[in-house]
Amino acid sequence: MDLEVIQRAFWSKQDVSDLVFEIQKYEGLGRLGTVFLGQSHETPTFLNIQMRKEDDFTRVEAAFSEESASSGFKKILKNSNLEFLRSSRPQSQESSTFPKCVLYPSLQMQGKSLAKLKRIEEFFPKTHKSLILGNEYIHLIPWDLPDIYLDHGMKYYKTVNRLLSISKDNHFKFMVNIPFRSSQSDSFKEISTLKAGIICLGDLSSTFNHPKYLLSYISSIRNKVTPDVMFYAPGVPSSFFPILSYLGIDLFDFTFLSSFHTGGNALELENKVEDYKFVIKRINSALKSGKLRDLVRIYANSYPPQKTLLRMIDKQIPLDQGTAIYGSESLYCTDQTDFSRPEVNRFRDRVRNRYQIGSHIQGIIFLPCSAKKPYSQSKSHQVFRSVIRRTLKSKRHSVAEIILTSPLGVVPRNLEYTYPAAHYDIPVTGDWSSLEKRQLAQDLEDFLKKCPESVQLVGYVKGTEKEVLTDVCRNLNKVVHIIDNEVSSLTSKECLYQFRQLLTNNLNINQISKRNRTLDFLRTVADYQFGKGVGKLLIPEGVRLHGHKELGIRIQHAGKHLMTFRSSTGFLTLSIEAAKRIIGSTRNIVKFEGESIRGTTIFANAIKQADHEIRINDEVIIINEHEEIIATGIAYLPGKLLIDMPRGLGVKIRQKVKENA
Amino acid sequence: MHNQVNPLLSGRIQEIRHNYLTQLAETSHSKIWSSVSENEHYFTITIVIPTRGCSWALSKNGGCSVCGYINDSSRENVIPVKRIKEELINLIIEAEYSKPLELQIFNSGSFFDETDVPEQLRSDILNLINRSGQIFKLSVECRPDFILKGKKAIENTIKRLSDIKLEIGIGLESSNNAILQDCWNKGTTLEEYETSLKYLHSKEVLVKSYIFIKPPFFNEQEAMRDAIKTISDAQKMGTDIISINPCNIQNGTLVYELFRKDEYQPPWLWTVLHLVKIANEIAPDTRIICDPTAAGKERGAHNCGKCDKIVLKLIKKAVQREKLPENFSEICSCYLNWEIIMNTPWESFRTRNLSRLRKLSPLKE
Repeated sequence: MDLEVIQRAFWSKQDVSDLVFEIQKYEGLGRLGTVFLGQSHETPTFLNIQMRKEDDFTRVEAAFSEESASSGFKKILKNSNLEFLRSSRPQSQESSTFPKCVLYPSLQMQGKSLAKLKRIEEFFPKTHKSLILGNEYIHLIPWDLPDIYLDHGMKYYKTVNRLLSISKDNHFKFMVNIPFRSSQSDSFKEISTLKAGIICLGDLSSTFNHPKYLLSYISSIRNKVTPDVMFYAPGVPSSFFPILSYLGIDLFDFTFLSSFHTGGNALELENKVEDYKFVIKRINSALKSGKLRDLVRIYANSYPPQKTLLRMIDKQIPLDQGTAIYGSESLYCTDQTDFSRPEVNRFRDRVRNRYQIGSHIQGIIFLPCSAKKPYSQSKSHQVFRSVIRRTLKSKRHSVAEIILTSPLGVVPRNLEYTYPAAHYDIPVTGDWSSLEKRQLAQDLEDFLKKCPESVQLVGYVKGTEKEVLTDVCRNLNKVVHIIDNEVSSLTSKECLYQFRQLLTNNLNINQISKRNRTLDFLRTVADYQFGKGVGKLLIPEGVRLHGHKELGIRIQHAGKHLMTFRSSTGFLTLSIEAAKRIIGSTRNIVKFEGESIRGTTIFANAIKQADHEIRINDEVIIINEHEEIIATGIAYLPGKLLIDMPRGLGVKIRQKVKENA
Repeated sequence: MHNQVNPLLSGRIQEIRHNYLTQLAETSHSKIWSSVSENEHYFTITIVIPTRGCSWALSKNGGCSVCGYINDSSRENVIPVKRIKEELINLIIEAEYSKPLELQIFNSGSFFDETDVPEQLRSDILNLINRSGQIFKLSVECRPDFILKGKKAIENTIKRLSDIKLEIGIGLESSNNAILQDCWNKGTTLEEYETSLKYLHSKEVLVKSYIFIKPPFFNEQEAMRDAIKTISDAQKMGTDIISINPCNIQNGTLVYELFRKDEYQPPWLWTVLHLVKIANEIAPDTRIICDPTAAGKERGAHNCGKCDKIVLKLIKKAVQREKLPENFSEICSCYLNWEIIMNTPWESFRTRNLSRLRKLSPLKE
């Protein structure tokens, strides 16, 4: 009977406020989101955990009322400073702005027996009856699974699922606690359909010194739930907030805090509420500007296990998924972990797999990097280039320039505008670490292996770059001509004279017909952006170019706008015309559920299919159910999330097919 | 099957107990433990005798989740009746005391359980007590179900003791049946306790009720709330003495297994102190006893380690209903930690490394 009543209450949604979680921005696995719970809250934020005390002292109080009417028991508690036992702690002003979650006394405390585990549904509606309609989350099972029930872990999840299924539409109102057990990973398979509002990772803080367990705990659960489920980590010290946000935790609390101090960590010395809020604020603004990774690094540097965790994340978690194709204007690489940043890894991978020097290239000149980016705008490179121009004259069209740098490795001149080549910055002392050398050698080797035998190599580099270049070429049995080592500065007059000598003496190049080098440049960018071979399809010979590399290029073909090259990001933006050219050969395709679109955005719930290779900020082509191109746009979320995410922004439209055209 | 049993819990307890007892069997030898203490009006002699062992713990239900007293019992071995008698003769007959004697005989089970304490042994003990002539009160323990089953033995005992007062300690532990069943595996209910209490009162037997702090799976706050309710209930039912027993972790029990995995921690002494204080006010006319076992140790009720002795003294003071200092936070800084833990759901999330919480040093303001 009661069950029926409550089910009716569930379904008559009139009083239930709209309660959802939306992702605004995504980085790594971390997300900047919004929770609508009565009012809207920006995540990551704090969860306002409240312990609900049912009036279970009435019996005790009743005993007193006979003797002394002046609320005897209350007085006793007050005298002992224990008022918190009687009533929920008065909500403090500051925490009232956070989403609220109610914790119940355990079932035993309520006088209900666990022995009848299968009948737990009957306990549940009665307990939560009045609360379903409030603006708060509810801890689904008011007891946590004792260890002795471990063999019955499956039973636990099944029960959780059953409880959630009773609540149908309101499943997002519940918080489910998933305690950590190393032996439990099999049980996680059961929770594939678990659709709670919040998943509480109860034992998280106990695994802080064991990054391996922590990572397996988080990722095993993450893989089994939809991305609109929030994660809550109770009892975490503030210095762990950034790295946990990076792993996708949305909710924290103050419980660790106040008067504890944890010792060694310099960032936790003042363990205060303001600190906690400050860290959250930093995370939010970092997420907004795409700088979370930098914040994570700063905090991770303060505590060795955190640093271990960060390195393990780089190794084990496919962070590439959540990393934007282009981000904020700068990319700082300040320590070892930054050399394995997803942006860096992606650039190296794409150069390795998607870049191919043109068939007309007969010689390669290796150059050092410069502090100013893009390289060609730096003084040193302008000098180098004028030397090359004056020495080789028109023969220079068949020579490729390659810049050797750390941590990006090999940067072709044609990709120097492309993120992150034009945006990265590293601390420079002239000494290279062994890791940097190894990375460069690796990239260089991969690059040289792909080059045809006939290509001649000239290096205008010194120091470490020279060392690496000679080593790699010796290993590959290639001839490379490099200037002498005694040079002081590569821009000095004597040195540039040597460079001229080097070029005239060692490069033996046949004259070729004049080429439009800007077209080569654009094709290389297109290859990098959309996949190998797309450049040729996308940019035919007869296009008209307006503008300049440094400011942006508009590309027109047969009187129609094809695309734009943006110098700020170094990427191309697609128009419908361009989309038609490459539809068959790119994977950046999103399938829209419907005939045509109105408005300027597509929400994630309307996306039927999307390639998993799509990254944030990627140019995508939108097709409808009949496989017709209907628009082009920019992806807001990685491809996997575009499909999985049941709500929120998905793709921003750039251009639509005109209805009557 | 017993109807007051959670099969999941009792199965696990039984397994743990069985493993421990088989491992113990070769090395164990039953011990007799005794002590004499003095107060203003009388001497108290406490003797723990190794009888066969609590029938509940030896049953297939595994016994209580926190109790490991069975480890010191005779179990399959022969009960050392001769040694017990010698010890008793030494203590109550041969020794001369200047004040009357209160004799406490604890057998870590039920005194009126036929299988635990054989009829012959009980009769021998009563003979010795009658021979002594110095004793004014005998104190024993019994589970409520064996009180109801062993009415004949109790009545017989009362008859033989004649002038000597009889006091029976009953483990109430909690007045919440769900806790007794799902945390304790106690096997008895509040109703059984109440019936036996009424029966004993009708025979003019004094009843001492044991109240336990912090059952397994409970956090500090819940444990405290439960204990307050239990004290109030026990007082209302008219128990004569309330004994507050904070948990101590004994080998071969479920609590020990949880403790080993750092999923259970014995209560704080602050909790105990507050409970005694509250009990004093809830039950102003009832005698309160609190003598925490292994207090200040890792396995007993403890605080941060620095203030354990001071707080224990305060507990003793509180039991005597003396005035306590008003501001506990001045006594030790760990009081703040305790307050935080009482106010937050730390343990509800089953966060491990619970022991760490106690040791964290508070920031100096």
